[in-house]
Amino acid sequence: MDIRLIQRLATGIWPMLALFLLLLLSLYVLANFAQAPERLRHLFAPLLLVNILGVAFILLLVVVNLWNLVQQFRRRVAGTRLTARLIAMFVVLSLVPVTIVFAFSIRFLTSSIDSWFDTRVEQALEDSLRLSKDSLSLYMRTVQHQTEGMAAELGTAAESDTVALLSRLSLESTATDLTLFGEGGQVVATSSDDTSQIVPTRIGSGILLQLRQGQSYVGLDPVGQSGLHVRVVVPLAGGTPTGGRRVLQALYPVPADLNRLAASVEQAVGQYRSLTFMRGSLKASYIGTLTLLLFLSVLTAIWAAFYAARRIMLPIHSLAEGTRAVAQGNYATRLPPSGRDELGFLVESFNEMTRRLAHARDQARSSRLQVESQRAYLEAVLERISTGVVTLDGRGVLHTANEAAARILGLALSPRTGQPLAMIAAEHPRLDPFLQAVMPHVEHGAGEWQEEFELPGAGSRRKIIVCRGARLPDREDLAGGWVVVFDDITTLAQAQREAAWSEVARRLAHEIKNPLTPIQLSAERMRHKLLDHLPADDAAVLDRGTWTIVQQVEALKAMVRAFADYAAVPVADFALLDVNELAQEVVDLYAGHRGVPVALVPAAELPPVLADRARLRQLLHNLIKNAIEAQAGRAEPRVTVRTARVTHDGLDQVELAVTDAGPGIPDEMIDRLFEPYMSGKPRGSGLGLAIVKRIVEEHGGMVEAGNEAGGGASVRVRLPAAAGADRRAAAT
Amino acid sequence: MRACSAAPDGPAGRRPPAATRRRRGAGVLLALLLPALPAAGTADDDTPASAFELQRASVRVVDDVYRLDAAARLRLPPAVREALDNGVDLGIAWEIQIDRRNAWWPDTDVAFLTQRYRLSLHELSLQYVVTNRNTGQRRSYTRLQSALDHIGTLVRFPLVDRMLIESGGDYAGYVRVRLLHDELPLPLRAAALFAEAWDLETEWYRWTFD
Repeated sequence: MDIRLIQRLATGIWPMLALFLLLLLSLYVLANFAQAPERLRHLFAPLLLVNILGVAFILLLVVVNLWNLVQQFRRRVAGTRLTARLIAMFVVLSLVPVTIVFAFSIRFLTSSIDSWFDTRVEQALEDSLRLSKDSLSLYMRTVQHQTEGMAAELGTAAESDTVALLSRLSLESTATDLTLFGEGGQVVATSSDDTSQIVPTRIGSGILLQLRQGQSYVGLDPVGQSGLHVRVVVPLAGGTPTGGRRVLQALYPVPADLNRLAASVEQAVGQYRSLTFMRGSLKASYIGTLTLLLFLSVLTAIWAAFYAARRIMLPIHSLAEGTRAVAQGNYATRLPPSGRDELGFLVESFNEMTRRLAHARDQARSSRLQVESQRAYLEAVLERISTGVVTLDGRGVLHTANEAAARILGLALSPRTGQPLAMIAAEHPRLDPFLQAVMPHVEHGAGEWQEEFELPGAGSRRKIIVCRGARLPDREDLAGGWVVVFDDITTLAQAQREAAWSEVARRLAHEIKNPLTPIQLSAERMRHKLLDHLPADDAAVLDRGTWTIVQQVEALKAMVRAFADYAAVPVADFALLDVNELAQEVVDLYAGHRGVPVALVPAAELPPVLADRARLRQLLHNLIKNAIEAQAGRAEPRVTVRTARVTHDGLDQVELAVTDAGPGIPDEMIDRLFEPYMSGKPRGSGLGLAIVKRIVEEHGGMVEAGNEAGGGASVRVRLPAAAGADRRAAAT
Repeated sequence: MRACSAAPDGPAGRRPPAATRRRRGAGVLLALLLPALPAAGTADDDTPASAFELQRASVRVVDDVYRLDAAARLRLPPAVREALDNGVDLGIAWEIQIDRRNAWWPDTDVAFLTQRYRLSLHELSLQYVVTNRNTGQRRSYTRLQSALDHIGTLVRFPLVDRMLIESGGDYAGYVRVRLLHDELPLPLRAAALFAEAWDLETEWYRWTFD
């Protein structure tokens, strides 16, 4: 059978109710089968079978339900324990009364059946039977004598008179049937009241045996519908002419009164005996029917217990599952409606709760997404600004830091969030000025503040940092924290100084250049007019004095030209040029210059740069000249010019480095080397490197100076390679 | 009277015609389902397996009517004998079925005949009374076996008119004798279903109409 059909039958109320009623009806019919008509008697076994199969089927359904419950118990399905408890309660509630009724019924039944049989009744019936037999015996002896008399008369009669004599004797006696049998059992003569019976009743072999011994037979014989008869068989005294023996059989009807009474006693005794014999079977039959009824009731009650428990537990089970689902975060859980009782109200409340929870969750998610979006936006902004931004809590613990902050401070800060600033500074002493600038304000809770300090940069350079701080809005997670923003203003400060120097140079050039020519002309004129007219001593003084004036004025003019060059805004003529070629051209000019060898180490492949050839040549001259001058008095001076192709910040660049073997650049000068008048040499305008820096900036490059590890200083200039230069170079 | 024109085949084993097969099936299933139900009185295990035994059967045509002569040896197990001696009437019947056998569809019933007897004990005369329930005729016997022999003998029992047996058709007849459980008193009937002693019936004896 389809397992789903069994499941449906095991859980559906209507099929079960129909089956129960059918079985109940069937059992009722079975219990009252004794009154069933004759033609329906063959239905007993099928009915019994239907009942047994029906009860077995309900048992199967109960077992299926029980199995399901055990499986649910093992799987720890929610509500199983309560279901089991409910079922146990229902079963006990139904089993106890039914069992009590059953026990009492059995007891009542057996005692009732036993009460039918009384030894006195039995004895009375036996006595009645014996009395009947005695009465009949008396009658039997009477008719036996009568028959023996007839037999004697027949025995002496001639054979030819036999038939007539038999008819006469029949008329004279009460016998309904007189038959004379010859040797071998053939009928010699017969006389009967019953004309319908043509053939007389034959004598049985048992009677014949008795007759052969010379005895008469007399016995009761229930004949057809005529009631009891006395059959008397008597041997005739005289044999046949052939010597064979003849016998006379006579049938006497028992008198009607005696017959009726005997039949009544016979029937009563028969019924009583059969009842006595069937006493055990009768009890078994009733007990069997009652047991079937008990099984039907109990099993149906157990099934009903399963059904009721399932119905009651359905909303509770749904609630438990729903609660578990909500605990796991599934707020979309909705339970099916469950009637209008308290459980139904609970289910409705649960659904309302999950609906609200889902709404709140959606709102929270939306808000969080919004906040995250804003936060991502702010982070993107913070990451892309050049200003360093860090947030600290009230105890100086780092909370956030952007990329610019890490770049300015020269330390990756993101992995150190959550650490106190003091700890970070202790590990990196370079950050000590930052700590000194920030912590006093953080600790003392001042309002907005601003500090400027210097931070050691790469090598011996120093960065100028401007730092501002402000309190953050009072938030729980920041605990009165601070936001600190800072900028590296080194370049700005340098540019400001350079701008100031340009202005000074321009003014100097303008203010000094004008009086120099009259001074020089006046001194030459004095020399020319007076030198020949003065005594030798005075003339010598005049000659030295005017010479000195002219020389100093020349020097001043040179200086003013230099200032003018520095302050001048050149008209650049940019074109693609090969730095190797230009460097070679300039280095060649210094071949054997004052004993200082100038060597070029060119890069194998160098992209062209877009540059003003004259300005770049001046740059190289200034650098080489500066390097030669820096080595004045050194034992083995040398200048090396190197070109290289480098990639910086993802940009293709051409590097031009000039290295000397001099004493190197003093630390205190290294940051301001490219400022005007920052010369370490006793001679010189102090504008050489300042002009170099200006030319580099005009070309969009950068310059830096430093000391070599093996001694000596180097200046590196990096110029951007011309875009698409490689392709053009390849094309040419 | 004409000569015999039907050929007996002999015992057909326990393969009964469909109608009676179903009745037996219910009893067997019940016996399997309720082995623990109290058995009827004394359910003897030593009851002979062939308490009812069909010894011979033959069919002949007399006056264009097929007639059956059959003899069965009937013995009553002690339990049944005890019931009879205690006033329980027993119903015993000859069952005769004639089928037309078909090649492509189930056999069709041509005739189903029964000869039923009631066997009872007359307390006053201590005679066993056999009542032919078809004719109402009663015979009494001093000895039980004589009564059983009377029941177990079927002489010229009319079966079916010769006209009803089509020539060329494939016909088969079955006969058996059995104790009728349906006629037992109700208390004994359920118990008799599960007691071997009460399972009194001969095997089906089969013959064909040639």
